[in-house]
Formats: sequence, C-alpha cells, structure tokens
Amino acid sequence: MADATHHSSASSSSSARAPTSSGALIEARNVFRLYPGARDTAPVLQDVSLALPEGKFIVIMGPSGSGKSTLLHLLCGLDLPSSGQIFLAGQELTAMDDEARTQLRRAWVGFVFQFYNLVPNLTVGENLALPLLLQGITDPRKDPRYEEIARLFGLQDKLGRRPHELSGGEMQRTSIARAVIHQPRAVFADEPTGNLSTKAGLEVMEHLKKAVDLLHRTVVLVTHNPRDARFADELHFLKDGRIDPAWSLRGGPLDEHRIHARLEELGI
Amino acid sequence: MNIASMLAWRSLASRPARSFTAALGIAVGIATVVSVQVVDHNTILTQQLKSQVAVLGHPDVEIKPHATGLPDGGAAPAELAGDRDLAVFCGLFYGHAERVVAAPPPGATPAESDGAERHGVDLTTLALGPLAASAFGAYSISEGRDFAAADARELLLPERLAAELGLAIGDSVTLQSVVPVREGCRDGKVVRLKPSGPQATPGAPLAFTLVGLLGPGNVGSQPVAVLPFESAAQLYAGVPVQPTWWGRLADGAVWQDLAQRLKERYVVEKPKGAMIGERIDQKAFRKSLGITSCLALLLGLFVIYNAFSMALVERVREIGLLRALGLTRGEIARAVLLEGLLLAIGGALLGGMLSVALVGLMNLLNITTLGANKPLQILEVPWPTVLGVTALGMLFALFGMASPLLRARHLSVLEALRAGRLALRADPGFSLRVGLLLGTPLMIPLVFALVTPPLGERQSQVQGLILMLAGVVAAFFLLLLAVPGLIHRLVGAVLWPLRLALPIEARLAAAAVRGARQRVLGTLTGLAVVVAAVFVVRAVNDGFLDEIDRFSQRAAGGRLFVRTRALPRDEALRLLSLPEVARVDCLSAEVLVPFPLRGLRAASLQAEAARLRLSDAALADFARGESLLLSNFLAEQMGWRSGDLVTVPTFSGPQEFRIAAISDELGYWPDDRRFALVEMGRLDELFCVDDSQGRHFILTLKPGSDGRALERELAARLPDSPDRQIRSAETLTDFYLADGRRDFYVFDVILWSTAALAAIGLLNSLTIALLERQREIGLLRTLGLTARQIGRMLMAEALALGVVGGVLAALLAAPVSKLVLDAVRVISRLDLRYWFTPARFAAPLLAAIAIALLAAWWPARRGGRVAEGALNRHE
Repeated sequence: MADATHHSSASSSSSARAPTSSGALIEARNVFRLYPGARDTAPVLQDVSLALPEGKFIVIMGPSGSGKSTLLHLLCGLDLPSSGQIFLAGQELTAMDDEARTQLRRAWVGFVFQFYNLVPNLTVGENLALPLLLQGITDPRKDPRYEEIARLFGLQDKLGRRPHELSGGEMQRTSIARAVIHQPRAVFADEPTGNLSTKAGLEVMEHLKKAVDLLHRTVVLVTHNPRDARFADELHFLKDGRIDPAWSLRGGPLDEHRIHARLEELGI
Repeated sequence: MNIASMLAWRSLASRPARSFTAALGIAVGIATVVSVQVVDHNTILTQQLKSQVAVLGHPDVEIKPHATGLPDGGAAPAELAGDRDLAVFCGLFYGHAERVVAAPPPGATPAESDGAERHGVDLTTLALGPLAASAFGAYSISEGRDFAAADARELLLPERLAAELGLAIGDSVTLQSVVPVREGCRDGKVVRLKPSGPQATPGAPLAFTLVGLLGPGNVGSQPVAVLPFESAAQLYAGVPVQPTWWGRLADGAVWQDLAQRLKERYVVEKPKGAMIGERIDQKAFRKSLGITSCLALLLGLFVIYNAFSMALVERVREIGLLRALGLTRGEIARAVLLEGLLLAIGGALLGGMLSVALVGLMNLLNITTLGANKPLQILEVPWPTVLGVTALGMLFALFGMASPLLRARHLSVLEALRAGRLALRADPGFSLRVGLLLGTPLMIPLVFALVTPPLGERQSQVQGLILMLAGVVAAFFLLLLAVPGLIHRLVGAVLWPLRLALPIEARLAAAAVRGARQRVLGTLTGLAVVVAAVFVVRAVNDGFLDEIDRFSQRAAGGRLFVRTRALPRDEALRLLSLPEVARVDCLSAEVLVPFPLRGLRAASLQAEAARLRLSDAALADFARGESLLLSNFLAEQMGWRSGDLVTVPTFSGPQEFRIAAISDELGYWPDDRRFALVEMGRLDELFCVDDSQGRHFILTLKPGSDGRALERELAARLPDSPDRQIRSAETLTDFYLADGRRDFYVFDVILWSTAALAAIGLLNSLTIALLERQREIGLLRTLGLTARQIGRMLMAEALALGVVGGVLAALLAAPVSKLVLDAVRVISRLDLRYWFTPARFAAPLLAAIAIALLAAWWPARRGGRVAEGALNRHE
C-alpha cells in the first residue's frame, strides 16, 4: 500500500493554519478543559502542551480520572478545550466550526474505541467500507484497500457477519481495520484493550503496531495498562490533568520495567 | 449504494418489528381516513343515483312563492332583494310555447316547404335570470355566446335539441306562449284548472334569435329552450306560471332562518340534490366521521413518534459513532429522512391494501357514512381525495419519524458516544406532547366549525357549549401538566396493594414510573384520550338510542302499524277490527305542501283529546278544518308554536291554518318525524285526497293487549302482498334501536382501530422503558431476579398505567359526553339526554386496563431475554 497522505476536502476546508513545533503532526498548546457546572473543582486538563510527531506509536498513560480520554477527544477534534489551541497537521482545530472539524475527522482521523463501536446494523464488510463510502467511493468493495486491509487484519472470512456474531478481539480488529482503511494521518485509540482478555489485547496491540510499521500511520493511544504502553515509540504521562515533557519516555519499544519505574517515580 | 441509503436500509431491515409497527401505524391512520372518504363519496353518489335528481343548477336555497304568477315584468321581488341572508338570487320558471313558422310561400318546392312541417311544434321553455350561469352554474356555452341582457330577444338551445330542431346560431325562432291546462281540486272535485279571466290570455308571438348552444350538463342536458327571464316574462304575460328563485346565502346565513322569515309568502327549501347528505344531522354525522378518522391519523403519528423515540434510544450511540467517523449532520439527516421516506412509502402501500379491505368490509356490512343499511350501488375511487390523504399521511409520518432522530443529530458526539444516557434523561417527545396537549383544547372550536354548518340563531348557544367543552379539556390537560407528580403518585397508589402479591415486582415497577414521569405522562394521556373518545361517542350513540326509545314509546306505544296493498276503507276496517283493537285510523291520505300533510278524522282526534290535552274549542276548530296538528320536529324546524298561523299552498291559493297542538303522539308512520295533520274532510276539499282507500293504517290497541301476538294474528288475516308490514310498537322500537346501533358501527370500526393504535403506542412506550432499563434489568437478573419476575414487573406497570389511564378517561369522558350531547341536542333539535351510571365509569376503566395489558404482553415476554448479558454489552 502506498504511503500516501490522503488529502481530501479537509485540507481546503480548514479555517486556520499555523506552523507546528518541529513539524509535529499533532500539537496542543496551553490547553485547559473544564466541565460546565464544575467551577469549584480543578480543571480536567491544566495547561497541557504537547507535540506529537508523525509516523510514531504514541501512548499517553495515566490513572483513571487523570483526563486521558478528555485529552484524546480534544486532540482528534471530537471536543473543544475551554482554552488553548489544538493543531492537527498544521490546521487549528480550535478555530474550526463543527462542519469543518467533521470533514477533517472524515479524511485524516481514524478511531478505535474501548467498546468497539461497530455499527450494529451493518456487516463487518460494511463497517469496514464505511470510511471509504465517506470519502465518496461509490463501490468500496472494488477499492484495492478494502481487500488488502481485510487480509492484513484477518477478516476475509468474516466480512458478511454482523458485529454481534464476532468475539471481542475480532470486533476490535474490525474496529482497527476500519480506523486505518482510508489512510488517515492519525489513528486515535481509547483504551482499546480495556474490554479484552490478555491474549486478545496483545493481538489488538500488535495490529495497531502494524498500522504504524506497515501502513506508516500515526497512532495515539491512551491506556492505564503498562503492557500496552510497551508498544510505544513515545510514552507520555498524564497526572492530575498535567503533562510534563520531562516525564516522557522515548525510543521504544519500551521495557515494561522502565515504565513501572517511571510510574512509581510519579506516584501513579 | 450511498451511505445514506445503506444506513437507512440496514436500519429498517435490522429491526423488522419496529419497522413493521411504524409502517402499521401509518397504514392504519391512512386506511381509516381513506376508507371513510371513499365510502362517503360513494354513499353520496349512491343516494344521488337513487333519488334520480336532475340538477339544473347549484343554488343554496330554492324559494317558491305560495301564489302563482310573476312579479310585474319579471322584476325581482322586493322581499328577496332586501333580505340580509341572500347574497344573490336569480329567477327561473318553466313554460310551454308553440313554435310559429310562417306558411310556405305559394309555389315553393318540397325542400323549401320543409319548415312548414314543423309548424306548431311544442317547446318547453325555461326562463333564467342573468346570474343563472355565472352564480349558479346552470349551463355552459359550447358555441356562440350568452344572453346580452335579461330582456334581450335571444334564445339558447342545448346542442342536441338544436340539432333535432334543425336550428343553427343566428336563426330566428318565433314563439307563442301556451296557456297550460292542469288538473286540480275545487271543493273536493278533481277539475281541469284552466285559468279564466285576464290571467289566462296568451300574449302575442315574439321572435327570438338563437345566440348560443349549451354543452351537456345541468340545463344543457334538458330538452328545453332557454330564454332570458325578462323576455320570457313578456312572452308569458297573462299566463299563470310558477316561478322559483334560486338563492345564494350570505356568509354565515342559515336557510332555516330565511325560511321562517319568508314563510308567509314563500316556501324556502334546500334543493333536493344538495340535500343528499347535507341535512344538518347528516352533515354533522359525516363530518364527525371525518374528524374521528383524522383522530386515527394523529394517533398513527403518535405511534410512529413513539416507535422512533424507541429507535433514538437504541441508536443514539450509533449516531454519535457516525458523527465521530466523519458523517456530517446533513448526511445523518439525509439517512434519517430516507429511512422515514421508505417507511412512509411502505406504510402508504400497506395503508392502500388495508383501505381496500376496510372499504370491502364496510360495503359487505352495508355501513355507509349516512348510517347502516344503505347499500352502496356505486363503488368508485375519488383519486384526488385518496392521493391527497395518502400524501398527507406520509407527510405526517415523515414528520413523526424524522423529528426524534433529527433532534438526535444535534447531540454532541461525546454525549452520544457515552451510550446516549445523557440524551435519554430528557424525553425527546416531551415538547411535542405538551404541544399536542395544549393544542387540543384550542383545536376543539376549530373542529366544531368544520363539523357543523352555520346554525343561525342557535349558533351562540352551541358556541357557549363548545367553549365549555374546550375549557374542560384544557383544565384536564393543564392539571396533568401543572401537577407533574400527580400521575406517578396515582400509579404508585395503584401499585401499592400489588405489593402484597408481587413485593419485588410492584416496587420495581413503581420505581420505574417515578424515574420516567414524562414518558408515563405522554403514554397515559394518549391512552386516556383515545379511550375517552371511544366512550364519548358511545355516550352520544346511547343518547340517540335513548331518544329513539322514548320517542317510540310516546309515538307508537299501545299501537300497531300496518302497511298493506291498497284496501278500501271498509274492507280494511273489517280486516283490522279485532277485539283487542280500540280504533283503526288510516293515514294514507297525504299531500306535500312541502311538508307531509296528512288527513285525520275528527272522531279519531276526539278519542285522543285527553291524552293531547286538547280543549273543546281546539277540537271544534280541528273538526271545522281550521287548524293543524304538528309533529314536534316540524314545529322545531320551522319555529312554529301552538296558536301560530301556518300558510299552506293549495289549488285554491294560500290557505291559513292555526296550530291546535304540537305532539308526536299521532301519525307515526313509517318513520318521518316531520308532518302535520288536518281534518280529513278539509284535506279532501282542498286536495281531493281522502282515506276511502288506503295502505297505511294505525291500530290503537285496548289497554293490556299483546302487540306481538296481534302482529301474528294479523299476519294470518291480511292478504299477502310484497310490501306488507305489520309492526307492533315493540317491533318498531326494536327495529329503530337496531338501526340506530348500526348507524354507529362505522364509528366503532374507526375508534377501535384507533384504540389498537393506542395499544401499539403503549407497547412502544413499554419497549422504550425496557431498552432504557436494560442495564438495570441486567443487574437485577445478575442478582437473581427471574425472567418471569421481569415480565411480571412490566405487567404490573402496565396494569397500573391501565387503571390510571382508565380513571382519567372516565373522568374526562363524563363531562365531555354531557357537553357534546347538549351541543348535539341543540343542533339536531332532538331531546338527547346524558345520565351517569356506574357502568359508564367502569367501561372506560376496563377498556384501558385491557388495552394496557394486551400492549404489555409482548414486552413482558421479551423483558427477561433482552436483559440477559446486558451488563456485558454496555458500559
């Protein structure tokens, strides 16, 4: 498969552009996130700044309630910060309207959720084809990426099945395949192994690693599981809504002991 | 397949039960309205066919002077020109004329003398005022032109007649009026009524130019030569003709008011053709049917709305996911609308099939929109109406389907992805329900205006009742909305005693109701309104039946009615005089003036004097032929009271009679309530009609006689004939009561299908509850609650909803029934009464419970199964 950065209408629909630090694909600048009606409580995210490079497996770790999912939702444009800026491929998400962010997600973003979130009424093949249909491809099954991705993720013989007929691992594989089929710039994964057995979880992580190594996608994953964090090229730690670049680990794959040591050091 | 079609199709296919329920809701709504419209259309066509009405034009009223003759020169009568209720009017009269053709000149060839053979051809002429075509649609010109003026010497001919007479536009026709010779009655003798004196001299021949030909339809289908009114008045000067004035009523005017005002000199009537289905009671009946069927359509919308609220519960996460994947709000809207459109089309097709079945069933059972037992002779489809109703139904359905899901597209992606729990805390249909509830009382006066024609002097009285009705309904809904805790407290109170038998299930059901007040409010109001509507209509039906019963007792009690072949009076008396019979009266002597005027012997009235509380002086007046007895209905309709003078047109000119009494206790045959009685000798003297021979006889029985036994005895005694009927008061009462019940079958069909829709709505509501509570039920199952207990919990909730819905329905139905019956009494002038009985409270209650339990059966069965593993599948 060609390592093509699939530029679609999202690039032309951006309302603001700004250079990112050192060519990062995703960047957060001084991001705060408060939830409405929670004035007396501390912000979920406090002055988070982060630059994530392209083509890497990036993991953000933190304990439950640390704001991991909130940060992920902000980075991919599903949510907006209370203040601060978010950039994706040089386009400022925080300056776009909902329609523009939707178009950008459609073209440049893939998602993997903890609870799979396959469309229950559609077959595995139709779920897989969904992002291609959204790209305006009228017959996605004839698109070479359809067959290639199905083969790569071992779904060839399951394309006609409905989601409820699959195991958890198979559903998550389908979800990853759907997240990468349209060649997005970044794939965001929210605790993708949280609902799976150890074996199925490992298999899912290997598939996500494939997306980086074979398909040259950028994967941003949030987890509280050090086993998943081993796959990271870059590992960031989120504690009490803050990220400190000094806490980060780089140069993966990472050793699990090193991760545990940093967690202990941070008191997580 | 694009993404919108794929999502729409998959959504429909993956939930066949929900899709079918929604389509069924649309189908039942559409089918009910369409079938009522189709049957109504064919009912009117059939009645028109049966009455063989040849319609000349389309006036609101026909005004006929008691006296013959035209006003001076054909001028408009001053009373009509100045009447406030007449917007426009136009005169017409028939006449007979002879066509005068000059003798052929001497030496003419046979071809040239051809016209001479037509000398003396008789023509029927119709004189029409200048507004006949433009305001009353009397004719259309197919060739040539219309009259230039009311006094132009011009002529119009139907195409066919012009061809028969060999006339073309521009031809001149000379006409000579002919004095008609009629049969009439003078002093009890049938005579030829050729007028004498100056009124009987035909005028000079006049020449008319043929200026236009008439296309078929109305006057164009009649074999008449049409003349301008004033020219015709000159042609018929000196000849007695009987004019009629067509009138168009002013806005809000009522023809009965006009009739009362002009009754001294004119008879005012609705045209016979226009009266079919347009009598005030018929019109109210037909319009009520239309409105009731629209209620079914609205209920269909409610069902669809509920079905799709259920879909929203199921699909809110899916919508969030699609938004996360990059579907725009517009694309989601397109998918939703496409799904709605597919369902609406499916529902419309199913509705078409159901309509065919319903119309077939109603035809089979002889149910029409003018009551039962009036079989349709024509069955055609009024396509514009059918297509219009179907399109409206589809539009309603599309709105009902799209509204909840379009709301969902505004959810934030994250809210939706969090399993939609946030979204479900607010009931998506609440604002619509509040709108419907508050809109209903406001709609009542509007619906009333649609149901009833203008009522003239009674308008304000009925409007007062309708406003009270709207007030009662508004108070009912406002109470429910203003006291939101009322419903769940009532439901909790019903569930309280159930705790003895079902301790866990009843508690859980009460908790579920507490947690979903808006859903419960919407469901209960829907159920209560439908059940109340059913029982209001039943109360109106009971009111009519009670009136029929009381009228029958009053008019027919202690009597026996016989219809036989024509029998000489003596022979009839011989055959009918049995020991149990006190008196035999013949009521066959009848003329139309225009109400039925029947002859009654003074001796017969003498025998009834005590019952009718008639004074000796009144009896003497009647015996002298100077007074009339009127039925209540005729007196009510014409606004006549005892002692008033009534003018009756006779062969000897208008005659005045004083009203001696108003009563229904004489002359009940066959079922016409609108009649008058005059002394038999006087009827004979004025109209040459007597009772020397008759077909209709009333037998007054001695006290204690067995009417049914006598019926059998007379059946053996009287000569057989095809139309022979012998009916005791009991048989007649039974017959008319059964007829009254049959008349309301059509309402039953509609209302019970509406109740079925309410049940489907309740089913949807309970299913929504089930889906909302999957996690909770899953937890309960994990803790050890059996599937059967889950089912019982849902049944307990349904029972409580049914009881409270039934109580609300009964509380709403009682005052509404009373007010509706009061309004119908004022409109119909029938003595309708409402009375409250325990059965009238219990019936809605039991109906609501039955509907609720039936609706809950399927969700209760499904409840346990759905919950299994729910905890594993969701956060």
